[in-house]
Amino acid sequence: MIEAIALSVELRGRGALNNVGVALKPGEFLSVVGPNGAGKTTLLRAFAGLVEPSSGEVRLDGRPLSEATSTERARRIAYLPQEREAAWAVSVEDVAALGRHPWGGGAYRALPPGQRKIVDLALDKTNAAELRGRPLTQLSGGERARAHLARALAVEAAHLLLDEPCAGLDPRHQIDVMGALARECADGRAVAVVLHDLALAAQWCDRILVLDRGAVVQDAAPDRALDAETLRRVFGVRRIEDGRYAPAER
Amino acid sequence: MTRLSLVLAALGLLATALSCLAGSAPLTLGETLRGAAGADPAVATIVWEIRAPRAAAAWLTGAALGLSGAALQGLLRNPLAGPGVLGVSAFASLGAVVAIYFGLAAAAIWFVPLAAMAFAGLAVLALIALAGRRLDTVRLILVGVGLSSFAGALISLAMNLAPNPFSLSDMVNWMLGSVANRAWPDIGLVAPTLALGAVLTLAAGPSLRALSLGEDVAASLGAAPARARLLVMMGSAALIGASVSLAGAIGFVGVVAPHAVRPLVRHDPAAVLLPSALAGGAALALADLFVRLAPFDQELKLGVAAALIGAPAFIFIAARLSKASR
Repeated sequence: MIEAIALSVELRGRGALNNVGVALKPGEFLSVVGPNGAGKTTLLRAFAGLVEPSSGEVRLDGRPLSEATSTERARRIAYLPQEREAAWAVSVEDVAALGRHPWGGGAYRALPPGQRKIVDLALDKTNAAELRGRPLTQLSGGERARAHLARALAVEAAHLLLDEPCAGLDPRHQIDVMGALARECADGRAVAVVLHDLALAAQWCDRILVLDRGAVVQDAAPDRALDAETLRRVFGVRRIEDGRYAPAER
Repeated sequence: MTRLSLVLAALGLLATALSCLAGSAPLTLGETLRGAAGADPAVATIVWEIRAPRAAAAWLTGAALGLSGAALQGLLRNPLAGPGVLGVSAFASLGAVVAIYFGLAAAAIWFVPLAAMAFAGLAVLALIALAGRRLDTVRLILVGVGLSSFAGALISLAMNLAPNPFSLSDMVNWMLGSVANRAWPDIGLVAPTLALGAVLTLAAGPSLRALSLGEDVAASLGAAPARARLLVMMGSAALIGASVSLAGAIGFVGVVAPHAVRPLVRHDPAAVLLPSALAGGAALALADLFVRLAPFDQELKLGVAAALIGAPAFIFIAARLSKASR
């Protein structure tokens, strides 16, 4: 379990998160939504131990996250940032094999058979097995997203934190990604995703956390979290038929 | 050690051996071999005290530059990065030029290499002080470019104000880069620094691999990017400082060697380190052999030969990169 307790984070002198309290429990599929600049990415990064709180703290399984060693943290928490960097023409299987780094991994071919099996499983889960020999730099956006997701799943961490895993994907690939994450939840892992697509969040997640200007506005089941009042006040939209949205007065 | 590393190591050994057997002294192969084995003390001196240390210096310089280039490329995630980008090479050269300017080379022979290594260390301290505690990559490169230019300006100043033609010609010789007349004590002087640099740089290998998906992913995998940066920068300072103090300013080996071997190690930023060192060593040993045998009245300087081959290769790499990203 990862918890934020009275968590505040300042970035470049400005408050990015303000007194946030939220918990991510095993088996839970949480989505974090909010307008641009609401602090969604900062919350995920704080959960992953990548930013220092200015006050309050993040706890991992009841202990302060700052007390965990970097290896302990890396084994318990997998993190997929929004930027999908690809500096080298590394093959997809080697990218996925990076997920084994916290266990002393290496290039795919250098891994012991047991570790290789875990990487293979991650590639299968994300439909990336057919890409395994291709260089990362030559993949399409959707293919690259699958390779990076396989890397995150190959960590086999109890907590998965993913920043916009569906950004830039076509509808079918979005469903495939959300489905793969839902299966990870069913295996008892805790999954938190940052999403911009409210319909996708409502369809797949157990709980929705609505952030606005660094503060928690809602933390509830989808239908209650995305009520008409929140939609209007936070997003400036109202729901019309079939899950579509129209502009609204704030 | 992989097969690639073995082949490259054998190539380096072959180049070094050929360097010991060939040269300007009018000797047949048989005379050289017999003399080197002890039959003729004069020939033994030529082979073991003149040719062997020179070949070893060329190989070591190339290996140091190849290794630091591969590590810097991995750290900065840029295939065009190299020992030149952080200003460490330029500062090491500046150290040597300053020592020559003040006539310290005449006071003691080891003053110039020591000054080169000290200034390389100074450049790293300046980088850490100016690029901030977290050593952000973009700032690191920009500060490095600035340091490079500043060192270049000071070198020009020293040449401008050179006290006499001899020290000016010493400086020019140093800037051209050469391993001519290197003896075993010269190598002994830089060997500990080279070894330290190699250990530090190779220790960063696994972190460099994790860094290939960016700093946040590396940090989330427990790879501590800040530690990797420190290791690579310290290691590179030692390698570059030692190589400049041994051979003067020699460019492009550090950029081109990693690029040449990268496809052969499946683009793995950790696995590329050792083969890059071996490829750099072999390349420079071969280049020095060519320089010694080339039929010019004046001996072609190793640094000039390296740039003549390396610069077009660099342009080729850069052109292909921009095509790939389009």
